[in-house]
Amino acid sequence: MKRVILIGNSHAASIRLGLKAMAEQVAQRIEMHYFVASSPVFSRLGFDGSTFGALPGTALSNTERSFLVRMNGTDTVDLEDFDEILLVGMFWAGGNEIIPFLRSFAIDRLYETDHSQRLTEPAFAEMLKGCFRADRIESVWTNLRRPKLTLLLRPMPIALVRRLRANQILRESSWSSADIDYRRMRQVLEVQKNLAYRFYSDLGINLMHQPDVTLAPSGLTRNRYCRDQVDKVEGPGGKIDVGHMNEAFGAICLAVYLDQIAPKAADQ
Amino acid sequence: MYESPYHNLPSRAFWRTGVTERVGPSSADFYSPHFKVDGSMKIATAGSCFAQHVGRALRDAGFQVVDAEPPPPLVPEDVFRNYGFGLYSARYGNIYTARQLLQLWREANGSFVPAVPVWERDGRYYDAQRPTIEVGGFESPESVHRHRAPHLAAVRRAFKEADIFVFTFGLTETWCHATTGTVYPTCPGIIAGAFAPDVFSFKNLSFAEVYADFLSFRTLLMEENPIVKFVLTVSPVPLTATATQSHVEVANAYSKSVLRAVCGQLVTDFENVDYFPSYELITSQKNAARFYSTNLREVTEEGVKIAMNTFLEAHGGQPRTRGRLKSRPAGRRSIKEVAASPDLVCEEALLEAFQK
Repeated sequence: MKRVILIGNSHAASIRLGLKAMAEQVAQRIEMHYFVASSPVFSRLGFDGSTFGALPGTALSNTERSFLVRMNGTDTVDLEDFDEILLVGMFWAGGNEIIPFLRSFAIDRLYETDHSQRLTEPAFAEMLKGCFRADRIESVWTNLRRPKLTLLLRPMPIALVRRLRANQILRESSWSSADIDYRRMRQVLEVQKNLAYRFYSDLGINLMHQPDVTLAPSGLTRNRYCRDQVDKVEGPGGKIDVGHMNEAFGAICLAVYLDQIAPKAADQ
Repeated sequence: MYESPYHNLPSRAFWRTGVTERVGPSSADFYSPHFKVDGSMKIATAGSCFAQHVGRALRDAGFQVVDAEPPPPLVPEDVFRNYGFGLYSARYGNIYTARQLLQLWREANGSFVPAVPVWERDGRYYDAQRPTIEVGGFESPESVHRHRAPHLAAVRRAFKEADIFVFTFGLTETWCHATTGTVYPTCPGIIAGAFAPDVFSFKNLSFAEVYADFLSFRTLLMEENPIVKFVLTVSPVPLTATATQSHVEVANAYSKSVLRAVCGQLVTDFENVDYFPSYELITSQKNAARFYSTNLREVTEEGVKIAMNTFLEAHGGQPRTRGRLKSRPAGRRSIKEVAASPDLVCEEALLEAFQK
């Protein structure tokens, strides 16, 4: 049975909740472990070729370190003990780097809007690839000797974001903009997805797309997968977290992941 | 008995004290601005390739450099610069001559249409007025025009909102459309297009022509933007090649002399025009070509730094202390900053799901 470690930031929460809901199925196919941290802490963790986490010299406050241990039972983990890594929520390919394009640029054929700046499709593609490279994922995660790495990027915000004002949104408020043409952006997101897939494949990383079933026609996540109640925003001063998803979302992602790394016997 | 007119002049007025005995490549009295440039002013930049350094240094020093066509945030600089972003106040690429500058402004305002605006190479199409702006060219001539229209609107915005217009004169030699006089930044056939001697001709602009071109530009811009002031420089980067019959070094001397003389005349004639002597600083005998790289053409980082620090010190800006030029337009954040921000308060989601 494959030993899998889920490493991630707050977006790993939905996967964990999904796992609780389908614990039995999962346990029949893989052995799942975790190592999670908030994004600010995560960006300071290191990897020495086998061990990942708060390596000696990592600058963490006592609160941050105790939170890390509280979450994981340890502040480091030996990745050589695992067959697979599912890295969740980190890195921004498939995420926010697309927003400035959508807000300020028309893109030939892909995104015909009345924005004051215009890009060709090849220029758009090169710039996106530049964004992927800027993440420097390879500086840490392609030095792995043993486990195979699957990357699940953070989810698209929920579709409700189109109707919200920025001050009604707890996180990801930059997705709320009158400058984004939500009706036309799906094609842009598809190009982005395909480019990201090729980029990560070249680095030996399996990029797992957000499952189609979780996406609304716009390319945003369907409202029902939101971690928050979507009517939360209706109260006075109400804000909603449009970026973090719930147990149902996590279960769908986990099911897709399982099918990729440990197909059921009948499927093999 | 009268004293000599030279009697009470400062040390900078004499070669021995101003140059021979000067300590260091530049000095505080090398440049005395006619008017101050400060952080509250919006600065537009254009010119030959040396002008890119000017824009970057000003931005790094905290000046407000206008960018009417900013790159998408998070795209690395080495990528967006390939597409002409972040070089100048709009994506017009290098503008080597005052005639090209005048032409661009007239085109942006609808009073000029360039001849042969699209060049072809290997089935791809290039904007003849900025042929390096799209790596690999555009897919069709229509696409060139479709992209040029918003660019011209950006040029209008950039130039009209500028308090200071910094222009670096680069060349007097240019290639033009023989019938209409349209000039191009490069010779047809080098990046794209085809050189046809009956269509295109060589032109080496004279003092009178360069002066008249810049004067026309100044007049037209001030009709739209009456408060604008001009800071002029001459690029210390020599000609790559000359199409005159002269030796390239002789042709270079002619070209830079004309440009320098035009700047001098403009400063004499107009209160809202200043000249910054980066050319003199880089080419000074005192500095004995030390600010040129091994090809004796490109200016080194050190040279750029010293020139721009001289400018910044004269205007009360913060001189650059780093050896390497870096630039990030105002308001842009690093990918790490953006990556971290949305999850700053997400511990509760983790706690809820992972608590042991």
